[in-house]
Amino acid sequence: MSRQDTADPFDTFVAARYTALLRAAYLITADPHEAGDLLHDSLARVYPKRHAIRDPALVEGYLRRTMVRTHVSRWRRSRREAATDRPPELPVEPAERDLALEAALRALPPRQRAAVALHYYLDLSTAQVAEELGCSQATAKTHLARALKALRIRLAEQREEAGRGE
Amino acid sequence: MASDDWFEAELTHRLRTAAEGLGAAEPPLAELRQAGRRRARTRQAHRVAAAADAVLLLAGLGWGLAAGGGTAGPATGGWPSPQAGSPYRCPGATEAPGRTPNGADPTVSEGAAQRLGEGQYREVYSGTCGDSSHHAFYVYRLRGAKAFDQAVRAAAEPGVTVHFVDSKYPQYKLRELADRIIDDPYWHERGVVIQGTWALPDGSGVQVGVLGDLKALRPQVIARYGPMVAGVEQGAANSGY
Repeated sequence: MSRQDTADPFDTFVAARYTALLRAAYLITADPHEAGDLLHDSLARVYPKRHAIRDPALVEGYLRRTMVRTHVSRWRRSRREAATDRPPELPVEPAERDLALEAALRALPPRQRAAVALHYYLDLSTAQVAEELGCSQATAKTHLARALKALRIRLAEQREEAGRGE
Repeated sequence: MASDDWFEAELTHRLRTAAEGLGAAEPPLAELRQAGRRRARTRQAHRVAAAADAVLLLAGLGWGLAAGGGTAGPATGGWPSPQAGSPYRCPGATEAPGRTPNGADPTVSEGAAQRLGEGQYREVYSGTCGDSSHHAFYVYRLRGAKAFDQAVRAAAEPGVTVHFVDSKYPQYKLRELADRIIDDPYWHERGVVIQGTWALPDGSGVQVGVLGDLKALRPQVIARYGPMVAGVEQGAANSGY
């Protein structure tokens, strides 16, 4: 890594947490290719404001919120805004993809999908999920309950289909 | 272990396994820095455009200029609604970037229109859709929103065409309804899952995604929320909220 790369604390943070953030983005989008796009877009959004974040410990939460809100906003805006000229690029393809899980997650609305990733993967409490989604705790619980119900139905259907195919 | 707990444990395990399937990756730091700087410049350009817009608007008011429906570029009187096909994308639009001959990016002007619409003009703004390949974008707003039209026109870069289309409802009202529907305990009490709701960007209403008997649920949803429900569909394929 060059001197220039380590000079900015934000770069150091990105270098250290890039894989973890990419994994979270993967579950938020349910698409490995969109994950890289979302993460890079969010990093580009946070980059100009990085000096305004006083507590370095808060950077990851801020970036995660940016990812979640950018993801929801992209759906709302029908992908109208591209933050960079660079085409999305996934640095690493997952070794073994759980396609059934990806399909079930993709069928969820983006807020529900983000809630699942935040709660069940990143282990955030429902209060923290609510904060990250920018909604009330009751609404966050609703998102989680509906997502869980839909995932249970879809994954069971997929299991049945797979069983019939064998 | 209860069935719910078992499923949650299985889901957690599958999510972790799936995520860990992504091996360690090196961040493209130089490119990310470059993208960040580009974004900072774009934001600065938006601020300048907004300031210029405010000045022009004040000047326009001072001079008693009246804004008519139309465009920043070519005139489009009576332009047909681009929503005849998919409500989510302008017809004929492609994902390909389409800069104008003078290098203007239509998405920058469209972004400025969105910020105006979501800010001081929220009472009249419904949404936009982009058609970069034709150096254009559409703005959906309530009929007669002359000040908003003028502000959008002033913020649009030269060479970018803005089409103004009359809409039925402002976006913020649709988002309020979208929130109300998805949080409504009425459906939960009846065992109905509202999978998602979407404030349509053309301002025509809220699209509702349900799980269950669509034929039976569609009239019930419309009866409960009225004409602001634009459609009811199965699942969440088109839900964005």
